[in-house]
Amino acid sequence: MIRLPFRHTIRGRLLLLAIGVELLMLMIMVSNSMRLFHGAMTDQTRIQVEEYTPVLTAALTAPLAQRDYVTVQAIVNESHSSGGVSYIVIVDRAGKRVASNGLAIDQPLPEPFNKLPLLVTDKNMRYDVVTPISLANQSLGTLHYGFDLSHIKSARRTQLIQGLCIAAVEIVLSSLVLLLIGYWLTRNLTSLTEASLDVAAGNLAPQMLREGDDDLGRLGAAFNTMSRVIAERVTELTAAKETSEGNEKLLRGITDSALDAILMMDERGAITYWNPAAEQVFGYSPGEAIGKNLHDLLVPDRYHDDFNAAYPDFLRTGTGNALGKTLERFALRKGGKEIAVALSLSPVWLDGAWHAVGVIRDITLNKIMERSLRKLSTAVDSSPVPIIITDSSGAIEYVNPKFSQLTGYSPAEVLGQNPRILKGGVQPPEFYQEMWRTILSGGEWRGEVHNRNKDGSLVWERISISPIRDDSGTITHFVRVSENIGEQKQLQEELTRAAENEKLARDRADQANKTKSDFLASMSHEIRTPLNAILGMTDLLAETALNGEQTQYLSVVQTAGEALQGLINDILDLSKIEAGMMTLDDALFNLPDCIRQLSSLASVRAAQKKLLLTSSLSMGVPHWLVGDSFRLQQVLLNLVGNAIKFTEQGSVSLDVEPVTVDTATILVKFSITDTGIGIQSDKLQKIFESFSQSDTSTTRKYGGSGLGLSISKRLVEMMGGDIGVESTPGQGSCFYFTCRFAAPSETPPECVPEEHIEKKVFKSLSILLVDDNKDNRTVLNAFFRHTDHRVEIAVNGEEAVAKVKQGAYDLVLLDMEMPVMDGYTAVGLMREWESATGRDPAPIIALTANALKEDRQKSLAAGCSDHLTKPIHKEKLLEVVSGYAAVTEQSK
Amino acid sequence: MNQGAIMDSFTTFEQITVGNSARNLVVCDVDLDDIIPEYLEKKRVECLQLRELVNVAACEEICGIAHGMRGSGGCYGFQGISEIGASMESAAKAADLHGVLAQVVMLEAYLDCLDVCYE
Repeated sequence: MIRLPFRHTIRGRLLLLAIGVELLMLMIMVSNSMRLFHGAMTDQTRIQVEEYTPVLTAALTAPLAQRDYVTVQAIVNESHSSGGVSYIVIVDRAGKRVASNGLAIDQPLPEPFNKLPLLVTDKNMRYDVVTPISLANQSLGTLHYGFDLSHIKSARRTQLIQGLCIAAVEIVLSSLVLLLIGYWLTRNLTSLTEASLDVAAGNLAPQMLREGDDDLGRLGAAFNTMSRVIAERVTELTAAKETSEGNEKLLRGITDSALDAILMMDERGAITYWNPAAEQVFGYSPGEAIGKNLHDLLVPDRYHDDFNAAYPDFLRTGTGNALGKTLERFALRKGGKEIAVALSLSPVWLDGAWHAVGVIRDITLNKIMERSLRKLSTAVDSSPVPIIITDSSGAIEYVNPKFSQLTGYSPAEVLGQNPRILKGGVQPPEFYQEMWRTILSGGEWRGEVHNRNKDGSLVWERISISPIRDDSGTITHFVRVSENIGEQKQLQEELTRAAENEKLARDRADQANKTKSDFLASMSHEIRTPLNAILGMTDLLAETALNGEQTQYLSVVQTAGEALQGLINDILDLSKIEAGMMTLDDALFNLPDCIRQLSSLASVRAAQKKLLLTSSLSMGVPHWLVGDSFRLQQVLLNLVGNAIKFTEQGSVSLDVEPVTVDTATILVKFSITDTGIGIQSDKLQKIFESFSQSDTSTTRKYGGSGLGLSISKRLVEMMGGDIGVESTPGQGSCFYFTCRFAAPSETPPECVPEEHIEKKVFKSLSILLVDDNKDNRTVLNAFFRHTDHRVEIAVNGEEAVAKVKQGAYDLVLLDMEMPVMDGYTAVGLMREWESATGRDPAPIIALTANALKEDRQKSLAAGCSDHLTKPIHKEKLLEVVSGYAAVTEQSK
Repeated sequence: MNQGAIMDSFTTFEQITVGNSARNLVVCDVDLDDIIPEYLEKKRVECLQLRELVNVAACEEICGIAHGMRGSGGCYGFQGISEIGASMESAAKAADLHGVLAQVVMLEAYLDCLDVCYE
C-alpha cells in the first residue's frame, strides 16, 4: 500500500478529496462525450450505407441481367477503389461468385451483422452488408460488400486522448491551487505542531506562536500560555525530584555503609528494608530476607511469646518496652546459629501504620572477648605468681593479691608508685638501665633480680617485663611477672657445686685412665722387648738337642711366653684404643680368603680338642670389601678362639650373612656359635668390659686376660657395628657382631688360575734418591736398609742430572720441589740426555707433597714414570720399587 | 703485626691445647729406631728456629721448614708432624704469623707428649 506523506495532514486530505472529485467529474464528462460521439457516428454510417447500397445495386442490375460479367467486375473494381469499401463480391443466382474485389476467392464470405459494430472492443471494424439484386422481381444475384469503419474508430481514439489530456491538465492546475490554499490555511497549525513536539521533546521554551484576534491567533496565545505554565511546573518538579533523589541517596549511603544491620518491619511483621550489613550479620541476601516475617526469620522461639504479647499495642500506639533503647539479645543467623546482638528498635509512622526500624550489631566477638577478659582477669587475680601492671612511665596501676601476699605491700601502698620501691640495692644501676632500654625499645626483658620485700627481707626473683601496645603500636603499659626463685637459686648453687665435684672426679678418673693407658703402653713395651728375646731364644733353644724333660719344660716356657705375648698385645691394643691412637685401614680385601685364613688358623686348636669347626658364607655377601681385614680377623679370631676354648665337645660354627647391601656400604653380620659351657644371664652384660670374664673360676680354669671381648667390642664399634651375645648355660653361646664396610669403587681383581701366575724374581736395583731435605733423604735411605737395593744420594736436580749422566741407575726417586733445580726441570734434562744418547728411559718416580690429581698429571707430563705423595710410607715405597725390580723368569 | 698480641693469643692457645693434651704413643718402624731420636731432636730445634722466624716475619723460610715437616713426618711414622707441617705451610703462605705460631705450639705440644715404640 502506497503511503502518501500528506495523508495525515488536513492539507493533504483536502487535496486528495478535491482531486478525487475532480477525477470523478472529468470521467463522467469524457464518458458522456464519447457516448454522444458514438451515437452520432453510428447514425451517420447507417445513412451512408442506406444511400450507397441502392446506387451500387442499380449500377449492377443491368450488366448482371445481361450477364456482362466484365462490366460487373469493372463496377466492382471501381467501387472498391473509390474508398470506403473493404471488399465487394457479386454472387449470381446459382450462388457462384461472378465478380469480386478485396476478398480472396477461397476466403468465405463474412456473415452480415444486424447492427453497426461501433463498440471500442470490436476487432472487425467493418459493416458487412448483403443485399439482393433483382429485376422485375426476378433475382439476378446477391451483392456482398464490407463498409469500412476504421476511420470512425480512429476518430473515437483521438477524441478519448484529447479528453484525457484536458482532464489531466485540469487536475494538475487544480492541485496546485489547492496546495497553495492549504498551505495558507495550515501554516499556523504546523507551527503549533512543531512547538508541541518541542515541548514533548523536553524543550520547555519553544518558539512563540503568533497571537491575534482570529481563531488561529487565539489558539497561538493559548498555546504560549500553556507552554509557559508547563515550563514552570516542570522546573518545580525537577527541583523537587533532585532534592528527593539527593535525600534518598544520602539515606541509602548511610544505611548501605553502616556497619550495623538496619532493617525495617511493616505492620504485618514482614521485612521491608535490609541493608548490606544485615546480610553480613545474618547471612541472608536482600532477596532472601525482604518480604519474610522478621520474627520467623531472625528471632529465636523463646522470644516469640513476648513479641506476640507486645505487638498489638505497638501497632495501635507505636510504643513498647523494647523501643527507644538498646537491648542485648540473641538472634538467628542463616543456618540457625545463634549470635549475640545489640538491638535498638524505633517506631516509624509510614503510610498510615506503625513500622519498626531495627539497628542491630553483632556482639558475639565482644561477648567472647568479655569472657576471655573475665577469665584473664580472674587468672591474673588468682595467679600464683606476683603480677604488676604499670603505665608507660612505670607508675603501678595494678598488683594482684599474690604480689601483696609475697611482698607485704597492699595495693593502696603501691598504686601510683614506681616498682623501684622493690629494689634490693644489689644490682648496679647499669643493670636497670639495660632493662629499661630493652622494654622501651619494645622488647621483652627477662632477668633475675634481687628484690626487697616490705619487711626488708631480700628475695631472688626471676622477672619478665613485657610491653603492652595500643592499636597504633604505642607502648601504653608494662606487665611485670615475677617468680620467687630463692629455692631454685639455692638448688642451682648446690648443683653447680655437685657438677664441679663431678667434673673434678671425672677429670681425676680421666687422668687416672690416661695414666693407666700410659702405664700399660709403657709397660707393654718394656715387657714385650725382653719377651721377644725370651721367645726368640726359646725357638732357638728348641732347635737344639734336648731331652724329653727339657723339651717339656721348654714347651711350658713357650706356651707361657706366647700367652704373655698375647696378653701384652691385647694390653697394647686396648691402650691404643683408649688413647685414640688406633686407626683402621681402608683396603680392598677378599672376605672368603679372610674366612679361609681364619679357619685355617683356628682349625689346629679345634682339631686338638676334636671339635667340629665349620664356616659358611651366605649368598648375597659381596666377596670384595673395603675395610680393615686385619682387625676383622682379630675380632673373629678372638671370638672363634674363645668358642673353641670354652667348648669341650661338639662344634663351633662361623656364619657370615649380609644385613644391608647398597652401592656405597655393606653391613655384614658374623655369628660364632658353639656348644660350650655357656654364660649365666646375669654375666652377659659384663663380659664385654675390660678384664672381665663370666666368673673367676672360669679364669682359673681357662685362663685369659679378659681383654679380648673388650677389644673386640671397641674394634667392632670402630668398624661401625655392634656386638652381642646370646647364651644358655650348659648348652652353648652365640656371639654375633656386625661390621660396616665400604663397597669397592673399582672392579676387584679377578681370580687368576694358579697355573697362569707368572713366577717372578726380584733383582737388585741401583737407585738414585734425590731430595733437598735431609730428613727425607735419611728416612728414605733407611727404608732400603734390609733390601738388596743400592741407594745413592743427590740433593738437588742439577746434581741428580749430573749423576744420571755419570752412572747407570735402574731407578730414580726424584723430589719435585727443590732449590737450585727442581724435579720437573731435572726430569726433562734426563729424558733429553737419554734420548740423545739412545738409552732406554730409566724409571723416575716423582715424590711430592701435593696429592691432587693434577699434580700427578703434571709429574707424568714432565716425564716421570710414577708419582708418590709425601709422606712416603715404607710399605708403599717398597711395593712400588718392587714393581720395577720384578722380572719374570722368562725375561730374567 | 703486633708481636704482643700474637704472644698473648699464643699463651691462651698454649694453655688450652697443652692442658687438654694426652700422651701420644706412636709405633714406628723398628728399622728407623736409630734415626728417629735425631729427627725428633731436630724438630725441637726447628721449633725454636720457627719462633725466631715468626718474630722477624720470615714467611718464606718458615714455609720451607714447614714444607719439609709436611713431607718427612709421615715417612718416619709421625703423621701428626706432617699434618702440623701442612697447616703451618698454609699459614706461612698466607703470611698468617698468628697461624704459624699456633702450629708451632701444636708441634711443641705434640713433641712433648710423644712416646715412641718400635715394631
